[in-house]
Amino acid sequence: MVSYAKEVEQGQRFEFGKNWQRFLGVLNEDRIVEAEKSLRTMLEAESLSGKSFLDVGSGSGLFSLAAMRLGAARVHSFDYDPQSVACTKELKRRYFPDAHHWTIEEGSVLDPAYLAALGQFDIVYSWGVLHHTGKMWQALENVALLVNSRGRLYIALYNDQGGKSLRWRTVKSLYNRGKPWRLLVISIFVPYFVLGGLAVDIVRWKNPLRRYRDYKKSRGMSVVHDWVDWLGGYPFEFAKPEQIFDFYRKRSFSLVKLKTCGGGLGNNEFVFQKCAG
Amino acid sequence: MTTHALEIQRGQRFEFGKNWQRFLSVLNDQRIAEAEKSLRAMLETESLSGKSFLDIGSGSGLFSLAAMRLGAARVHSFDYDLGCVECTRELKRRYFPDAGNWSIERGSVLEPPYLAGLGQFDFVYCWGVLHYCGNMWQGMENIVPLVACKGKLFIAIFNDQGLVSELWLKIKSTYNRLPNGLKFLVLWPAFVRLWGPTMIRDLVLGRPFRTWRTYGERRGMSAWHDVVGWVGGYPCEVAKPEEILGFYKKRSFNLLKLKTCGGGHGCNEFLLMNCAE
Repeated sequence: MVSYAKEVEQGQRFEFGKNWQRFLGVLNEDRIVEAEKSLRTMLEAESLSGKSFLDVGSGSGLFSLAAMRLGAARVHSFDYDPQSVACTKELKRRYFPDAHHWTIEEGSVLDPAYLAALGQFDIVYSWGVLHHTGKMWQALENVALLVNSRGRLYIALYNDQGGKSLRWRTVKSLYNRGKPWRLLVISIFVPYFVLGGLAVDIVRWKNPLRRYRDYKKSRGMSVVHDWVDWLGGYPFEFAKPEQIFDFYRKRSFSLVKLKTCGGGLGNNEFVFQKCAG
Repeated sequence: MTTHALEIQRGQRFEFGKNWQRFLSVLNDQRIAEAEKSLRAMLETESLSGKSFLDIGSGSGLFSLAAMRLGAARVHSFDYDLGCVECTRELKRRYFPDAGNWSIERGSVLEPPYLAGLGQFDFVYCWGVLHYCGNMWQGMENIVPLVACKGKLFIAIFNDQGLVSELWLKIKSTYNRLPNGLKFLVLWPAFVRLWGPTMIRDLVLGRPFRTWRTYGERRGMSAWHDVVGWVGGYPCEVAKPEEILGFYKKRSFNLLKLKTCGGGHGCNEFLLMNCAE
């Protein structure tokens, strides 16, 4: 995809897939189980048996894999970043090499022709993706059409922190300008995250190493890869929970489950159900 | 001596009513109009004509007054704090002295026999109250039967900010335990923390005190009384938006409207509809 490579070269896009490939090195059974657990909790289902599952922006592919393990009848994964696609394919090769009901390809959530060919799904999953497309509201509109009647849409989007979010956008755009900037941003903000966490643990009188040991319990991800993903993740948009709620309420979706990030830095998660009719 | 008076004497409860009585002296038509406007927007209705309105924890009585002015067929206001009850009565004496459809009395949201005698209402309004009652979740449970079928419940509850909330709770408890002459030791530093950054920003932008002076235009309240109400407000609990949503979902309420405070300190607002058969 020419425009993708061009965007990266011009420093307008972070290479998420590269970061995910590094994540594959630390992937293990524990992390996969945590991912499964988070899907089960948020979708309020013990199994996905008989359901079709669409992973929009599959990234590492971890959650497509979790959906497969939860017995989904059909899983389709796509990503705009070729390396993320390769990463998801690698996961399939490792765990479900012969499964025909798991398809993986390169595609864009901003490409209506591509989406139209996909059909509709019982579960549309897009975690921390649409705010990186450069056209978040268009993307939110597009994924609504992919959900079956009575189907569920599970999305996570960055929280709008007002002025703070705008300052983060500047940091992220610096990160993507080239190697010297990247090193500068990492050398400032990684210590900032570490010291901030340490300060909180001291106030709460908790073991400061525990947060790192426990990190993978939230969705099975790795703390270092999430830091890099956060600092580099660009383009970058964000929204308040009520903006997303209002947007989908107008499109006949009702909110089934919500998880906010307490107003800090991070994602708000939403599970919507499409109302029949 | 009543339980309420005992709680105050022991420094376990803030006298909200005293603060509201001071607010009466700055109340004017403009503030009342703002309150009406915010009520219309929040309840998504132009008029309350033909509707019954219950104001739980009426405080100053401003929103009961607004409901009367919006044409409610019946308004009932109650508060646990006698000072608040008097304050609401004073508002009635000033604006609706002869109205037979506005009743005001002392009552507690934690006394089911009292609540059982009230009947059901089309609108139950409870803004920033239940987190002060000492048993927030019980209070939220107790008000469920007060909402008529297809009636609407409007509540605002303090946002849970994690560590920051824990610190504020300590500050509030200290404020209430200090003798009156020393309360300023907590109040003034808190005031500087709450308003300092805004004051400096306004000064730098060449519009000193503008936010402070225009504060009353939002919800018709006064800035200083809100600071005292915030620092003193105790007992105090907090909740994340998803906890409130999950709680009322289990009780067959649907979320119609959401407004988060962007993660800062403040209330998240919820408009919920009772859909139980």
